[in-house]
Amino acid sequence: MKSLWNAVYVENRKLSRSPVLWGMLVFLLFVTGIRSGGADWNEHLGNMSFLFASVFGLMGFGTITAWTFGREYADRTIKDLLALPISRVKIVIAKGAVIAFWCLVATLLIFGFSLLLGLLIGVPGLSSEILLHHLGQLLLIAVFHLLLCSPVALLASISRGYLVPIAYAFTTLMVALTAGPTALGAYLPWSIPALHLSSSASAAFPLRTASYIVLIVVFELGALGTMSWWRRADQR
Amino acid sequence: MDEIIRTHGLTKRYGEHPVLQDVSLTVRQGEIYGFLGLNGAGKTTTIRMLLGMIRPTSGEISIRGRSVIEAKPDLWQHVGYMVETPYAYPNFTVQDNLRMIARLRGLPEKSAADDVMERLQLKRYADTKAKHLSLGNAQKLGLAKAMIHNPSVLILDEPTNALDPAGIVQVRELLRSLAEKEGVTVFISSHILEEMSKLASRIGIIHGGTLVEEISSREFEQLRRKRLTVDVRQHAEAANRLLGEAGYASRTAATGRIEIADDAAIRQPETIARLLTEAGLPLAALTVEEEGLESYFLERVGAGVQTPSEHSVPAHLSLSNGGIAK
Repeated sequence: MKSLWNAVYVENRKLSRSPVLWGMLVFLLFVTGIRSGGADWNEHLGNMSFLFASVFGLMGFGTITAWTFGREYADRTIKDLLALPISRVKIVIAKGAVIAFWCLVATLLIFGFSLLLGLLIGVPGLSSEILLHHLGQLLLIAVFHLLLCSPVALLASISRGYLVPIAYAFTTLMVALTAGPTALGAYLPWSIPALHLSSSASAAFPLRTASYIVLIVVFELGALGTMSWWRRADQR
Repeated sequence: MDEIIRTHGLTKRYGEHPVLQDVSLTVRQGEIYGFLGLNGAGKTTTIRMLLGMIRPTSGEISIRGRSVIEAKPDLWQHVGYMVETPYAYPNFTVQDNLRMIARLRGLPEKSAADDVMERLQLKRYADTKAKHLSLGNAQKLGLAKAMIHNPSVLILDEPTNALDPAGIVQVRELLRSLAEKEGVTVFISSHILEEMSKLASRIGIIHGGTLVEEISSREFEQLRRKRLTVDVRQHAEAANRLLGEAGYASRTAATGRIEIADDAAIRQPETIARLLTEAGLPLAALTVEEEGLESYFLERVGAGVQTPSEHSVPAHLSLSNGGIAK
């Protein structure tokens, strides 16, 4: 357990001092600022949640994941992680935990920023119910997007860099935007978060169970694939 | 002595392409094993397999008696390594890079990093970002990462590459001291032959994925062929005849000089000098040539380039001193 904590500590140090994390956060805050405003808080926070569900999660979380795994290959530091008294699986778990932590921090910062902007521009009708409702939705969507990040980690490991997984993240964004509104959308992993949000007025989990199972299956395939790759593949 | 590193029948193929074939070697405790080979010979593949980074197609690898393929991570507590050109996180300082490795190895960060920086004279670069280090200091940082936990086994891939002469001597002395005083087992790959001959206690030569030869450094010195060359101007034919009559196997080289490979002649060149001068032949030069490490190595790996290093003794000078000795 101590070795896992050590790995989390080191991975956190690497990611928290990475310009990619902070650059991405600034970009997301900038876009959030552009799309701020609305007739009431539901519209104002809804705009931000929609941006998050459709673009920020796939692109932002995807880029952070691609960087966290891909940089080890780009910086050629991967070999320093392969023969340590910590199992390679723990290193993968540590990276995943740190990605999840910072993506959730970014989510909360974006929410806080949106709240601040709403107050500054005087959006009317703020209530604690509205705030909690949107915060809950946002965190749930963030978790959905985190589930979609594991294939990005796998691709970064297989391709030994961050360009392929970032290209993959952008491709999934395009696929989600174009195929999301079709009948297939509810089963297409990358469009599920946005569809979930758009239907969430009717129920907490408005889509069929199969849609949520798709997300879990994608996560498991990506996570197990990444761990297996780190454990078994030849690291040339 | 205990066998610390052992491979048996180690083979690696990528598809039909063999990279390593049936490599069996052992390295005993406190030994410095030099792994010599040209680029692409299979040195780095072997090292990666020793470290569990590449799985063998067949064969066995063990370190400290434990199979590397099935080993639990705690095996690596005893092993320090550096594979190919060392890299570090470019935006982190030397100190930060070392502290992260120390943390991953479960060591007290500050003292472990400080100690190893002291040993490798990296203290003055502690706050320099890795991306601003010279190649030599980046190499030292790689070595520091390998040595930070005082391992009992060191596996190093070309560790003196990019180091300046002072750095090479420093690393050589450090490794020698670790092996001799602390019993650290060192497996070191290189294509720098002179460096290997100065450092290694045993040398394995790998070529085309096959271990061509495995010898001690003493044997290595002995195996280097020596010969006596004699310059008698235009009288090579007469000199050859004379030497033949005296029982020496001699031949005229393309340079016009006479070459004698007999041990007796090499050990006592003054006998040859006396023989020739007494016969009235002009002795312009008498030289004991030692086959260079490079030519020995290239001959073993089949590249066959002759680059003898000469230890010449001008005949007239040696004769005036009453004899010729190498």
